[in-house]
Amino acid sequence: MMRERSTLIRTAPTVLLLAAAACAGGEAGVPAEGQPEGPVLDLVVRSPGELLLLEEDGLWSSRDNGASWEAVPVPERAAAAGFSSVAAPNDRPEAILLGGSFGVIRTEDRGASWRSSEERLSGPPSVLAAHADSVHILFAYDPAEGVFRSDDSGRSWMMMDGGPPGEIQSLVHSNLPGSMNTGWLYAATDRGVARAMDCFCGWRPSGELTGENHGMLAVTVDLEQPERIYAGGQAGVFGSDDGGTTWRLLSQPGQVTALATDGSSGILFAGTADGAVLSSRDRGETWDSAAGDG
Amino acid sequence: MADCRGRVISGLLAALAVTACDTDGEGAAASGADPATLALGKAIYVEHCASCHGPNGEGAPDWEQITAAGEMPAPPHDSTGHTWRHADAVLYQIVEQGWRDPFNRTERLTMPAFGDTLDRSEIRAVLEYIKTLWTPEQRQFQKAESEGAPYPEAALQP
Repeated sequence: MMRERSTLIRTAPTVLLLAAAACAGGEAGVPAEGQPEGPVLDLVVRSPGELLLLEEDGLWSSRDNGASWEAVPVPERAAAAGFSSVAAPNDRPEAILLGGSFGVIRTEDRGASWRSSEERLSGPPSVLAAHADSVHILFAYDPAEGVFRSDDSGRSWMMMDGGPPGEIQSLVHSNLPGSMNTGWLYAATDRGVARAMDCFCGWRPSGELTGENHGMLAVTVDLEQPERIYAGGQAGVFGSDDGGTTWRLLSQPGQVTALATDGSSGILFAGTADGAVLSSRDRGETWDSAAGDG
Repeated sequence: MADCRGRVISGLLAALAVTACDTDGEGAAASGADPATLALGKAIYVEHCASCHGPNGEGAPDWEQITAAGEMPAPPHDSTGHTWRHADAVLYQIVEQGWRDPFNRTERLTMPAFGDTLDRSEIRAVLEYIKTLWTPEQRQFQKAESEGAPYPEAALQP
């Protein structure tokens, strides 16, 4: 059973209010209370040891590999509308992008203030991803339209193609050599894993992990060894050592909804539908609670 | 951030991915290359490229499906393909040095290298001919992509 993404609330007043507030000069972020407890929608490795965790109504940051978390301030109305994806642009260390029914908003001060993109995507993005190397290139996915690319850190967007068959649940950019452009995109979809060169020259099934029986919710790449790809879903965590051509089942730690890799340490992180954050130091074979890590 | 009109950038690439077939005349007039270059380019295409990429740039049959040998077939060069997504420098290098999809099961260059067969001006000529097979919007996109990655300077010499 696929994870049910929260219904994106398409209420015009909400969007307009958020847009107006953001356009007026930015909207202040408000930190959530407590600790992350809900289903993990997205995980991002911001820098070695630093993670971002996204829940439907909150964003959290950890500087100790998930052992402890602090809330990142987010606009209250955006949180009420519901988040869908987070990305960490490479251009500024304090920059974060959030996607949801409100579109895409960006902070450059770790959540103290947020602004909308100057030129919006045609619809609410359900997935965001940062280029593996470029400081300005970002990707977004709107299920109704396709995959978008931004060359200016999310300020404007261009639709690149309709995406692979099925619906993208997670997207990651890889610097694996051999592309006609700058790298590759891997997408976890409800029909398995798909890959494409980032020139958008056509999506293809990523090897054997394809078909309606191989629905995946998460995908990540080890950027230090980009031939290593991981994908996760209800069936478990799968790994590939050849850029996603052959795969094997590594482990079954529960319904994995998010994956992230810290290439510098080799730690693989997983978020689950029941709110757990796990870490693996043996490439997904075994897992520990990140709360016990550090 | 100054522009808060909420202007949506949309449909550029939707317009690009059309199946409209450009006539030689229309594409030639809009491509910007001189007629002699285009005539040379077309002749080179017919002799060296058509057998794999199709006489009209339509690509190999079932070009999106990996073959039994584990290789990706020759893609289209017309508006239905993705050649227009690449900058001049990339296209030039592919023609000169050849290329293989890194996920092919074979090791050979499925796109042969023509650097020893075609001189620099001939490589540029065949690429300029291929551009006549695209829509105006695709040529515009490719031109913008090529601003940061143009033909090698030597290829621009007469």
